[in-house]
Amino acid sequence: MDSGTLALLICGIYLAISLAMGIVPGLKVSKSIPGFVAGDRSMNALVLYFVLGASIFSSFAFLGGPGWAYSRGAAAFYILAYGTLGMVPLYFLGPRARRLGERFGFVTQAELLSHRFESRALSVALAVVSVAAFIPYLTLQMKGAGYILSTISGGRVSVAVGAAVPYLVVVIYVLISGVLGVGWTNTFQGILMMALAWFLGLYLPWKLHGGVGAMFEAIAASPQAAMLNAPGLDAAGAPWHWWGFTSAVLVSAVGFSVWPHFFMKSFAARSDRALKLTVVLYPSFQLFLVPILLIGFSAVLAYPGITPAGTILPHLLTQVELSPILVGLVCAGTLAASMSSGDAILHAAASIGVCDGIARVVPGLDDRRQRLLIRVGIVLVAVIAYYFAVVSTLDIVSLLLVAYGGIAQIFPIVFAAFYWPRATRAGALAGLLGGMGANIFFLLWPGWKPVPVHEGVFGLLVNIALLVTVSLLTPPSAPERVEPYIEA
Amino acid sequence: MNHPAPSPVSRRLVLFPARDSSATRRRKGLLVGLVLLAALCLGWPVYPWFGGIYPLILGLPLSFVWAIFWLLVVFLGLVWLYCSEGGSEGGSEGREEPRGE
Repeated sequence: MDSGTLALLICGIYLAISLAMGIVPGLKVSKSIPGFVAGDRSMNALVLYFVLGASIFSSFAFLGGPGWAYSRGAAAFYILAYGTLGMVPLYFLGPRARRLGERFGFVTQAELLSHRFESRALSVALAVVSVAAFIPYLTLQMKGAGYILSTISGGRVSVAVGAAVPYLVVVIYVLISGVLGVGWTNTFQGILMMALAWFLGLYLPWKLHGGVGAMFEAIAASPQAAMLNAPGLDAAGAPWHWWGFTSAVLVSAVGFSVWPHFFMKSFAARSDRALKLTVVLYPSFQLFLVPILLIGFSAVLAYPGITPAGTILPHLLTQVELSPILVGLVCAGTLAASMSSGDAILHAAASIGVCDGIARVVPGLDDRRQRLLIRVGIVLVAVIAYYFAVVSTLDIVSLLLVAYGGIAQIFPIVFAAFYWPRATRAGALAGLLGGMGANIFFLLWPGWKPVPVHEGVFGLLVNIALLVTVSLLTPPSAPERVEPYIEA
Repeated sequence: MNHPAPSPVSRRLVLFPARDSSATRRRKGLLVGLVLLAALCLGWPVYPWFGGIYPLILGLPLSFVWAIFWLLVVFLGLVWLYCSEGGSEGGSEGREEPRGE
């Protein structure tokens, strides 16, 4: 058996295990919306830890992380920085959301916000933003999976087939098990990718340079030394500026905890302590970025000039002499990174689109019909994302950038829901829509920016200004409505 | 410590639920302060002072170690807050026995 076939075989075994682990828990969960969307609120700290960790570490971390370190040096530390800051709000917001979810039966972020602000329009607006953000995100995961399988098979498996097979597995277990399928497979996938990242991150610098220290000394002594000075290089290879680095860290950190698929896992937690423990332990997942970045740095001097930079990991796998079993495991790990984000996104996109979007516009949908619609939605979202991944030539990365800045605009509304009793429906809607508008405006016309910071900063400023002014100008919400949120 | 109940609807931010003891409030405040400090240190204006290559620490450039250092500091801060809140499984924030009062 040649090495490519052996590696593919290992990926096949991995896919079979993922499928089995995804289906089994679904046989126990109740046939209801809380069962399918929030796992009957039964997740313990271990499963929750891997769900949150693995759904954030996507194929972006596995392919894009080394790519950033390889091409932009210290700029990649921004990923470490925003993760450090971004998880903390969930320590405070998560348990409050969880208790309210238990009391009022919420399973999504928009349900909570539209209840607090008594606004169906807010729910629908959030559903539209979420689904619009999820599709490009899922498309990138599929592309990652297709790319890795096509590379290790030497092109015998096309990108189209490489993206289709893993995502067929994902669609099957998400359809059968809902969020619990995501939970147990992410536990398995998370352990696999952590182990491989640490191994490769230490092995490759040793193999190519004789050690991590020797590697950085060699880069520091080379013409590329400047990339190691924070804030690293920009996309064009010139030194990045602190405006850009700092604002990117802040906007990403603000948006981090309110990504709808991430926030809604609060409702799946068994208890406040389980949820808090997950947040507390989260930095151990974050530390796994250290070896990921080392992989990218190991190629700076050894394999210069690889483009696009995001392909540096698969490139290393084909260039460095590694046992085919190991190559297979690394590919399985990369698939795990892609699928463990893809499944959570797919599940969240369909649940949110149906519960917060369609069900709020079409009255009288019962629980059974909603579950059916969510399942149809899962297939539909998967097909649309697959179309963009394989057929369409639309620039999906720019779509994702719009989405990222948009998601950060949810944070002020979530914060106000819990901490500012005076916030009103009109204020929340004005803030959200104004913030998104400003974000999109500066993304499309960057020449209008007064200072060269991330467009999300302008979005947040407009958002907060509108939220505060419009709320103060409109009559307050009823105290009985606000009180449970403030005292949650 | 009497926190005014939001009646009828307060115009101010209400950062702590009424049941939080003053010790709980102090601990949460300390952690938030630490995180804000980390935010300042992980970008302009503090990071530029620690953003160089040398000294290499454990083989890693200073700019890299600085980011990892703050990750660990925030981690320890969260561990401290979590442990100090104690409480049984399912116990919610602030519902633990009031301390230091």
